[in-house]
Amino acid sequence: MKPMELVLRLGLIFGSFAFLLFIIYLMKKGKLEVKYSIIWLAFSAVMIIFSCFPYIVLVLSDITRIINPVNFIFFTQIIFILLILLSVSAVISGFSKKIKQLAQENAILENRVRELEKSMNK
Amino acid sequence: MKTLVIIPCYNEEDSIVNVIENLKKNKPDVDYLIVNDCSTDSTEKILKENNFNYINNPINLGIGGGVQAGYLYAKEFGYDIAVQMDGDGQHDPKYLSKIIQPIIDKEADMVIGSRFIEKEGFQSSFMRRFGINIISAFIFLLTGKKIKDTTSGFRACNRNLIEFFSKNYADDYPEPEAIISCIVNGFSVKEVAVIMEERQGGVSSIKSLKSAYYMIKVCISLIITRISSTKIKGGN
Repeated sequence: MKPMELVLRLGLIFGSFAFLLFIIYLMKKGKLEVKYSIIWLAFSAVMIIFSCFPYIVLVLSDITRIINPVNFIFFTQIIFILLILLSVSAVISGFSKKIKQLAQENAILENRVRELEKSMNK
Repeated sequence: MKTLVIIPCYNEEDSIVNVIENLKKNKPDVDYLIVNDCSTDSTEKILKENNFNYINNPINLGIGGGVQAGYLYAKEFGYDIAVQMDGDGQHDPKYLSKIIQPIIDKEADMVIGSRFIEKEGFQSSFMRRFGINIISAFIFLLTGKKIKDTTSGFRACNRNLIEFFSKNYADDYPEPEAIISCIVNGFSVKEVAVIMEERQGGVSSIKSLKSAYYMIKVCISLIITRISSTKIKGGN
């Protein structure tokens, strides 16, 4: 097992806390909804745990036969990013369906209003 | 029975007036609705000047979303039968009765006007037919039903399907997907022979450059639709 460099550790601790604070800031400002923030909060929690208790990373990378512990951190981050991207695609799909429904209802309403105006002007 | 002809229309300024006049002449007892899917040419102006019955999608929804708006309209206004017909003059209104008849006789929930049964009239290009045959084979593989003209946009359906389609209708290239979702949800599909014309104006929603994307997307969505429902009931 190779101990992680001190600089890397400090960087990770600082980075993961700053990241958490940024997420909370966005939530406070109402720019990030709670339901979309959960996966980001989980992400930053895992990163904080990894940076504060690097022993966990050493053990996990040993179990998974990943030679360089920092690669285990990258691996975890990539998994999270993939999950987040997939969830974003799912959210967008939901939105596009809703937008489509709104547009259709709007189009039919416009037709009804037009016909109504026509019959009133007669 | 109250019948609505849904005419999806995108940039059809050259042909739409002919299509509607032809429809009124051949089949005056049906209502029609033009779905103007945010055309960029003067289609809307023409529709307004001629006092046609139309709806204007505020944003371009594509052929699927546009037709679905038509089904929603048919549902809200209580139509018993809805017929889809292209706005480019490919589909001759004189076949409307032929398409509607099996639905009135309760022979099928959906009737597709097929240009490949009697192989007359405009048969479209070799590559187009090749693609249509692949989709047809694919649908046979997934459901055991033989549908020849899988991309035909000339089709009629009954009240149950109007309600079903107003909730579930595919987006980009919906014709094959609508067939398979009908079959897997227990509706029966029937094909009748029609003769199609070459389009009078406008461009096909399936362009040559996009055809690879089209085939991949259709095949994926067919599989997904097939596995998302397990009940296949025997139709006709």
